[in-house]
Amino acid sequence: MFKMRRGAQALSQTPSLFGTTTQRVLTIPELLEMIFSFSDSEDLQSSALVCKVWSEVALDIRWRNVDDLPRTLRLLAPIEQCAQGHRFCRPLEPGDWVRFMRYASRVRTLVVTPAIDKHLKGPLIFDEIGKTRTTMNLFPKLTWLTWTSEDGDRLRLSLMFMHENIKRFAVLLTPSPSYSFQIYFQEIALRMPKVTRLDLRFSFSVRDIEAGLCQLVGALPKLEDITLPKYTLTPKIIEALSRKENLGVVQFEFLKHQGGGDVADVQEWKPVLREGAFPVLYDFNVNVKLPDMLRFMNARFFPSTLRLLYVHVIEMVSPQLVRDFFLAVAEKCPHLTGLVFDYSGDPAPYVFRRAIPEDELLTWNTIRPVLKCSKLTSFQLNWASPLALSQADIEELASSWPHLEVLFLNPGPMPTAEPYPLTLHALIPFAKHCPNIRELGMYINTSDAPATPLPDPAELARLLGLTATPFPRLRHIYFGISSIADSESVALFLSQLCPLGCQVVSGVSWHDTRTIVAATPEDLQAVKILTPAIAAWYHEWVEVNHVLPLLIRLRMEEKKRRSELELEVEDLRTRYKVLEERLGMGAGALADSGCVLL
Amino acid sequence: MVLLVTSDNEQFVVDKEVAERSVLIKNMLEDVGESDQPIPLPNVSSSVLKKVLEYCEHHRGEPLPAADADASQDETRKRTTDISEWDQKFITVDQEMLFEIILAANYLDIKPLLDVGCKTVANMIKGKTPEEIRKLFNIVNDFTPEEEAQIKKENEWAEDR
Repeated sequence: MFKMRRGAQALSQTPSLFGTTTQRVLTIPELLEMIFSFSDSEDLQSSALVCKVWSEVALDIRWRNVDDLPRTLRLLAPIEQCAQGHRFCRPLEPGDWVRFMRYASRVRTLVVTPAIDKHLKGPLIFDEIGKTRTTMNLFPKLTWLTWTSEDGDRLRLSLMFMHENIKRFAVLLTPSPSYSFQIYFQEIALRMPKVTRLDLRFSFSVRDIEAGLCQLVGALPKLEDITLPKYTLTPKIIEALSRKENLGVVQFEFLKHQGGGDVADVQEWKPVLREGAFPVLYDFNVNVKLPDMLRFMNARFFPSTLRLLYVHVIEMVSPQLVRDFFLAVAEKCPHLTGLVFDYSGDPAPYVFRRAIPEDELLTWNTIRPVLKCSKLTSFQLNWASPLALSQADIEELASSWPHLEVLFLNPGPMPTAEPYPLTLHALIPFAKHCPNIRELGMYINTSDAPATPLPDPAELARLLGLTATPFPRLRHIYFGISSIADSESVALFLSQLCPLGCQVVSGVSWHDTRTIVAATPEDLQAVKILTPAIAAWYHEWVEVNHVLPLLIRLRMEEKKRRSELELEVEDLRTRYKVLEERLGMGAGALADSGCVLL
Repeated sequence: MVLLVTSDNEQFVVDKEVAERSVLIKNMLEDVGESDQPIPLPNVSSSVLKKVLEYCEHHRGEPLPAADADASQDETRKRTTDISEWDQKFITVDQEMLFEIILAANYLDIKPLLDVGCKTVANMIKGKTPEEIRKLFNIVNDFTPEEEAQIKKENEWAEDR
């Protein structure tokens, strides 16, 4: 490991002036902060009572992130119910504000939840605060404000917490007849001019606020990151965003709390970019029709800086067009490291058909252009029907993509009634060629007996060649709605490939639509048979995930034992050989040396 | 190989790859360039360095945390206090040594080791009353009973939920 040499003279340790090392460390605020960063709130509470140095550090962490505004305001004075809602039980005094500011000045992140609509009803609490507060900023060190009150009439109350040092702002916009978003957006720009990350959540057509939103975007010079609901990136908004010189991220969220716009708003999608558009954009997420996206990418001034691109396709297209899109990506996004191509039954639901016409299938030929993106390490593809890929295609894909880290090959398509050709064999090429893979999602068939039986350990070792540990970094393996008949044999096979800690995940990720639509009455009949099967498969996969760690552990132990045995055999062979040589030299040699050293 | 000299003037010859798990040493090596100059570590004693090097040796080759790992300081994050089996065994030392390791990891800038040390202390605090914590670390209570009662009162969140 390391050698040690004694120096010329060893200096004797002088006793520290600060007492023991324990006490020294426990009075250094930076180290205490690091220790407390691993503590939960109860331990922080205890730590805050230990001594004065600890108290300051522990309280800073305890109050850094606050999501209970009613409780925080109760630091001022007890709150009681009255005819108009809630109020402080007495007028606020200077001492109340000293106490409040002792904690409020530590708050960096404030999430105001809909709980205020229930626990801080009416105007009285906020009126009293407005009248008596001793400083303009209630939370002077606040950098991240999230406002999710569901009462649109009270949106204005959020102004009370805004100030110029806030960098991140998220808000739920609930329409109210008494307050216009146009005015609210002006307030945001005026009061929080340094906002870098803006997150707007709403559930109505973005047309209603488009003009105001474009103005707001224009008035925030430091904007780096914007998050909106799906179907809200209209051409006008894209154009307004394209002029932001610090904007790196444009994204939408499918998550329910983000809300959602009207898909009609992105049906006509022809944004026009000017020279210098999106100078530093690196992460672009958009819901569009694919022909529109292609036109956008092939037009002048499309940014060449993208590293991440997520295209959610809102309308079914031909495989040829998908191929054209991948070709455009390879040409227009030379720095791309992550690509998601998502057609996922939203807004139109997936339609079940027993068989898919040939000309609708995505083949290896459709996908192959992706390989031209030389820096791509993450690729996710969601499509309505299973991909038409063969084992040979998978072999080519894996062998030409050794630096792959994340790959989702449509693990949750709408199944067909025909048996799917890819089996567990499809994992082997990735295990062999892609050591960096962390997340892998595949749609495979493990219920019909495969044409070639699954390899036994010796055969698998031969197939993997020089790969000593397959999938060293694999964290999750997704099988979506892959069929599975026998969880035991699947788990046994996976235990030879997956590392300890790797999780097996199954189930669908279709966004909104859980109802399956069938094309014809016959298809409906078929889907009725298939649905319970899919549910049963899910449970089998859960079982696989359950037993897999045990099997992997067992294999590791066996492997260790075997290599120990092999070492011992090797050692015995050497000794035997020495003995044999000595004996070969005759009795004289033995007599000379007196003994044989083994 | 790199030559390290401790506060008690002991010399350690270490693989460059192992020594460079310390960001401090890595930067020093970059500054001096290729040379056989010994690197003095006046803040670390030989007994502690031996222990620290044992850790670096075991974790050699593992990816180092990115420099901007703590950029998300302000974000609400749940930090795990889980410690791996080997690290757990490694850090099972007497209290003085534990804090010596923390100091050394901080000085040498070995973030994963510092985390292991801090997690261990956080786990020692877990579930204890303030008085038990004071006893454990021999800390003097410098609060008046009134001050203590006030802080207690103003921070009672847990019971609230």
